[in-house]
Amino acid sequence: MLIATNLSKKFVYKESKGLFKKKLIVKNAVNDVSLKIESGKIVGLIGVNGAGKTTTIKMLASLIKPTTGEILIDNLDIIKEHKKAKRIINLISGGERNIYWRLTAQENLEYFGALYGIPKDVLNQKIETILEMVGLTESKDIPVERYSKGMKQRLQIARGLINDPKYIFLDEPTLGLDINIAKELRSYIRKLADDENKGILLTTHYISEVEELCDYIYIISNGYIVAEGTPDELKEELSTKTQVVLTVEVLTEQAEVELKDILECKAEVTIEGENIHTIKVISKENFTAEIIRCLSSHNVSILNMKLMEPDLEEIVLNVLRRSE
Amino acid sequence: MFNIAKATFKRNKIIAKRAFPWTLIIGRIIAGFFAILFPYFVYTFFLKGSISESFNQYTNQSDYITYITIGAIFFILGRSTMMEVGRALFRELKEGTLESVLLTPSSRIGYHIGCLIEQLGRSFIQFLTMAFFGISFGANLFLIISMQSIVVIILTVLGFFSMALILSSIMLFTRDAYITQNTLFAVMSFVTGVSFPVEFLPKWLQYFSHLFPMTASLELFRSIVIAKQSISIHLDLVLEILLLSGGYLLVAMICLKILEKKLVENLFG
Repeated sequence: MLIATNLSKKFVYKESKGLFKKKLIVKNAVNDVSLKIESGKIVGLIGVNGAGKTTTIKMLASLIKPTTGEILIDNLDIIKEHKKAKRIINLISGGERNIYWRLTAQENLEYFGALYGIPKDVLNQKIETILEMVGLTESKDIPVERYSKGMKQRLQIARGLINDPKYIFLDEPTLGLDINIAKELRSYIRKLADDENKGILLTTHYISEVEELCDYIYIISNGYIVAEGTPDELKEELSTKTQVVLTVEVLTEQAEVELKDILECKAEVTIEGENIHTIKVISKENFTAEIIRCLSSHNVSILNMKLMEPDLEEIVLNVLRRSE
Repeated sequence: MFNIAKATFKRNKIIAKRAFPWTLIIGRIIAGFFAILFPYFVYTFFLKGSISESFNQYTNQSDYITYITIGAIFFILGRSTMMEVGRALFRELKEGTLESVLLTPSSRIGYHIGCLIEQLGRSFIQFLTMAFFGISFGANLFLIISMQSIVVIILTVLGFFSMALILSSIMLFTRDAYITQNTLFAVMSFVTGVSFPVEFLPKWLQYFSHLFPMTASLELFRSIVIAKQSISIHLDLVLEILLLSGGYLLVAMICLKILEKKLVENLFG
C-alpha cells in the first residue's frame, strides 16, 4: 500500500521588482495532505487548477521532495530511497510530451526500458505485451511524429508500464482526447487495476471519469484535502439536495395543501400545470414515501415519478465553494 | 551506467539520423575548411608569412599554419562536444521529455557519456577533415597519428566532457542555452591559445586561461606534434588536465543533483 502522511510543499521563488530588486515569494502548494492507495484500487484526486493536485502527484512520483511529511510505498520510504522507489512507480501525464517523437514506439520503449535497467530479453517480451495491450503493435515501427494524439497518449501509457510499476500516477490522462479514445483509455485504466492489480492515483478535471473509475476520492482545495470517501459516501455525506419530480393527474386543492403542510420548512415545493400537474420537491432528505402516501390518500394518480440522484459534480463544486 | 550510455548513444544516433539531413555533415566539413582557410589567408596575405620572434619563442619555432590548425581542430572538437553534451538535458527540457528521464532511476553520468560518444563519432570526422585541410595548406601534422597524441586527445575529451557537465548545470540553472554556450566558446577561443600563445595575454588572463583544460591540452598536443617532445616531460600538464577535469566532474555532479531538483520544482512550482 502507498501511504502518504502529512505531506506539505512550500515553493520559494524570486519575483522581479524592477531591474535589480527581487522579492522572495513563498507559496504553500500542498498542506498536510494524507492519502492512501491500495493495490488494485483507483483513487481519484480532484480539485480545480492550482489546487495542489500536480504538486502532490509529483511528490508521490519522487520528482519533488516534500517540505515535510512521509511517503511509504510497501514500507519503503520513497524520500530517502527514491532510486529504489522509482523502480516500482511511474507517472503518466496527459498530452503528447514525455516521449521521443523521432523514435518509433518500439525504440521509445526500448530506450525507457534500458533506463530502468531491464535485461534485453525480458524487455523485448515486455514491449510486445504492452504494445499489444495498448493496441500499437501494428504501428510500432512508425516514428511517433506520425501518430495521432490518441496513439501518442497510448504510447505514454505503454511508457508508464515499461517498468511494471506497482503504483501508477495518472495526471489528467484523457486531457484533450476524443470521447471515443478517452473511453478506450478509461477501459485500459480499469483493466490495469482489476487485472494487473496496480494501485492507481488519478487526477482529472472530468467528474464523470472519476465517477466511472474511482473506488475512493480525495477532494483537494488550496493545497488541503477538504473531503474524502467512496463516491457513494461522498454523495451521502455531502449531498445538499434530493430532487423528486412527479407528474400527477388532477391534483386537488386539499391534496396540495396537505402536501405543502407535510413538507413545510423541510423542502422546496413547486407545483406547475393545470390538468396535468408537475410537482417538484427539492430537499436535503428523501421524502418520497411521505409524498406518495399523501397523494394516494387523496386518490391522486401518479403518472410519472423521477428521483434525481445527488450529482457528484455538484457535490464537488459545493465542497470546493465551501472550502474557498 | 554503461547500459544507460549505450542506450542513450543508440537513441541519439537514431534521432540525429532522422532529424538532420546528410548535408549537415557537409556543413560541418565546410565550417572546418573555413576555420583553416581564414587564418591561412591572414598569415599569407596580411602577415606576408612573417611572424614575430616572440611567437617563435613561445611556440618552439612552430610555423603558424601548423599552430593554428591544431588550435582550430581542438576548438571545433571542444565546441561540438560541449555543445552537444552540455545541451542534452536542456534539450530534453525544451522537447518535454525531461520528466520521463528524471522519473527513471538511471545514472546521469551514463546518460551524458552516451551523448558524448554519439557526438564524438561526428566530431572525429570533422577532426580528420580539418587535419586534412591543414596538411593541404602546409601544416606539419604527421605526428598527429601516434600513441602519444591519442592519449592527449582522450585527456582533452575528458576535459571537454567535464566542462560540458558544468555547462549543462549552468544552462539548466539559467534556462538559457545560446547566451551561455556562446559566451563560453568566445572566451575559450580567446584565452586558451587557439590562435596565439597565451603568453601574449596579460598575466591575469594567463592565470584565468588555466581554468580551461583546453589550455593545457593544446600546449601538450603542440609539444608532441610540433616540438616532437615526449609526453613524459610534460606530466605537469597531464596532471593539470586531470585535476581540472576531476574537479569539474565533481562540481558538475553535485550541481546537477541539486539543479535537477530545483529545475523540477521550478517547472511545477
